[in-house]
Amino acid sequence: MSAGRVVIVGGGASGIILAARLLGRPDSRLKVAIVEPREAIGAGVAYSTDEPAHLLNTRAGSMSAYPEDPDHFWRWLLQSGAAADLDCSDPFCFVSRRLYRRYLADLVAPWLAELGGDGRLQWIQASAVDVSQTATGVAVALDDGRTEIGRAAVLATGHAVPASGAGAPYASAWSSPAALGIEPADDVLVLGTGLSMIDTVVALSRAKHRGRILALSRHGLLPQVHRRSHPLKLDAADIPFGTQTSFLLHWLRDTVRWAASEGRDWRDVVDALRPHTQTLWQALPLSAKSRFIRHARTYWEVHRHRMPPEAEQSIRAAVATGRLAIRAGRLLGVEAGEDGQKAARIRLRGGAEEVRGFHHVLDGTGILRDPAADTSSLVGRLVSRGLARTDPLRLGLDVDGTCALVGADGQASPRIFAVGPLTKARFWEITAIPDIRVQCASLAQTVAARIAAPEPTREVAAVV
Amino acid sequence: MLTMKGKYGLKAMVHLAGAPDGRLTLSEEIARSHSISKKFLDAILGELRNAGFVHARKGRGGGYALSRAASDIRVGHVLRVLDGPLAPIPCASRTAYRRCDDCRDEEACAVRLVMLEVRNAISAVLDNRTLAELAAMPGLLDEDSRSRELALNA
Repeated sequence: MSAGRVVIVGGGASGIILAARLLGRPDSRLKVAIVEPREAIGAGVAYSTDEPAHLLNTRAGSMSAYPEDPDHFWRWLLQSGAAADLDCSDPFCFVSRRLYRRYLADLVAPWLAELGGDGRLQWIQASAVDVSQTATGVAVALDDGRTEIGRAAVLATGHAVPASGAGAPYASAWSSPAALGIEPADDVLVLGTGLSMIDTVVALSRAKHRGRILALSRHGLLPQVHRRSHPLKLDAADIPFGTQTSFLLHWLRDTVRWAASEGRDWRDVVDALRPHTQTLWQALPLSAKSRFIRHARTYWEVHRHRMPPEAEQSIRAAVATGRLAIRAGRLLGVEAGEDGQKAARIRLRGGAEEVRGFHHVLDGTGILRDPAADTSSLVGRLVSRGLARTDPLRLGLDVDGTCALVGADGQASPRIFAVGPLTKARFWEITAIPDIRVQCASLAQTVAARIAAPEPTREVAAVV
Repeated sequence: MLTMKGKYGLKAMVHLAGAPDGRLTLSEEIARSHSISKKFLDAILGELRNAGFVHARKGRGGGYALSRAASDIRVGHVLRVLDGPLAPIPCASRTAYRRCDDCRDEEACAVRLVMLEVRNAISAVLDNRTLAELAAMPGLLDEDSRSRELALNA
């Protein structure tokens, strides 16, 4: 029997799945508080969209919150009646992200008093501005002056979001066309040609946008599209861990060729690596990690994080009608142009520098950002106070194998943990539900055990 | 299966793990102390270099060194580069798969199925051992020092 309170900072998918795990433990009397400025449950960067054409980028059959019950989401789809009005006859289908948000809310409903639950989960609508640890627990300071006390805290603040608002250079591709004030005839430059760009184009198409869209990235590569795949079974014994990036890619290509000779698809190989990606990443020496990020990441991402067939159709239609151009190139700068437009200095691959006018420049360059760049954010503050530190490549926060936050002194915190994309420096592939749910399962166990352990008596009660 | 290549490569890596920090070791020296043909050893070291486990410098003052700390290099990782997927028999492999000539159905072959289990045990052992640990247990792989030890015990 463990009693105590866990404060989770962030109410997106990672925070919700972790909360469901903690509260759903048998015999548990644990209480959980989720601190989240947004009102909607599960509305992090991934699932806040209300656009019905924004689909999950993972098939429904892989989106269960519980690794030991892989059909949990699929059953929810059938039982909630949501699948009835969808064209969804088997688990290889891609449903809307706002529907997944409803699933996330349903996951924690049994404990939320507002939804008729037992009240062991509290939704605290506020921003966390600081976290401190004491000898017996944690204190999470909120922007409204209150403080939430718990026995442990978990940071689930997700991806570092690019600066937005009047002072920001570009508008966020993670906002709706309406919120961005994009008129149907406006010309739009999207930086990036990945899944965020696709979301933007899909939303613009649905809003009857007819202006021109230029999507620009270093390689001009689009994500590959999902097909039904039958992953190979690869064991650890098959995979060349610890080798340099070039060797690993060589092996991957060889294996794909071998699989093709057996009549299989490359997706069967890429998906077969899923259970091993974290081990692969952790076995890479730092030099190989940095080379991977510089040279191989884009290729990895477009094969690993694919788009649903519906999104591909929408993109193809936009390209076919000349509304959308996808180009390799660089944005050299943006200045104020004529008629309130933005003059973008662009160099397309193999071309000369040119200036083009756009009504909007959107940042869809994805999720690789220094998590502590914004020193006013909670993570930025924890790093500047030495309670947390970034990894050498500034991908995320440094955590140990149990997801405990590692401070500037190299010591793992006994009570502050991190989960989800914030931990990608250690786990790399920790941005999709099938990876996050495994992490949540083991972290819930760690946190529950830590809280149940008797208090260390010799520890000096000092607020860090 | 541990091939000659895998065995010699591992011995060379353990040898390099014992070299002082920053010092490059000539392949002649490694070849001599383990009675390996230098030509074979150079080919092995070339493969280990491609995989990023050793650094090499040519010319005067050149030689080989580990590209990272011996405590960061796993024995199983080195062997996969030299021998391919770890497997006790060729057909007990998921990739680079070689079916036996006399095999009618590899999915139903009990020998193969148990050998697939064996290889998981092999990788569990070898991936848990670092080169540093191997270098700290002379006598287990280094035949020279073992024969010396045997002589002392005699």
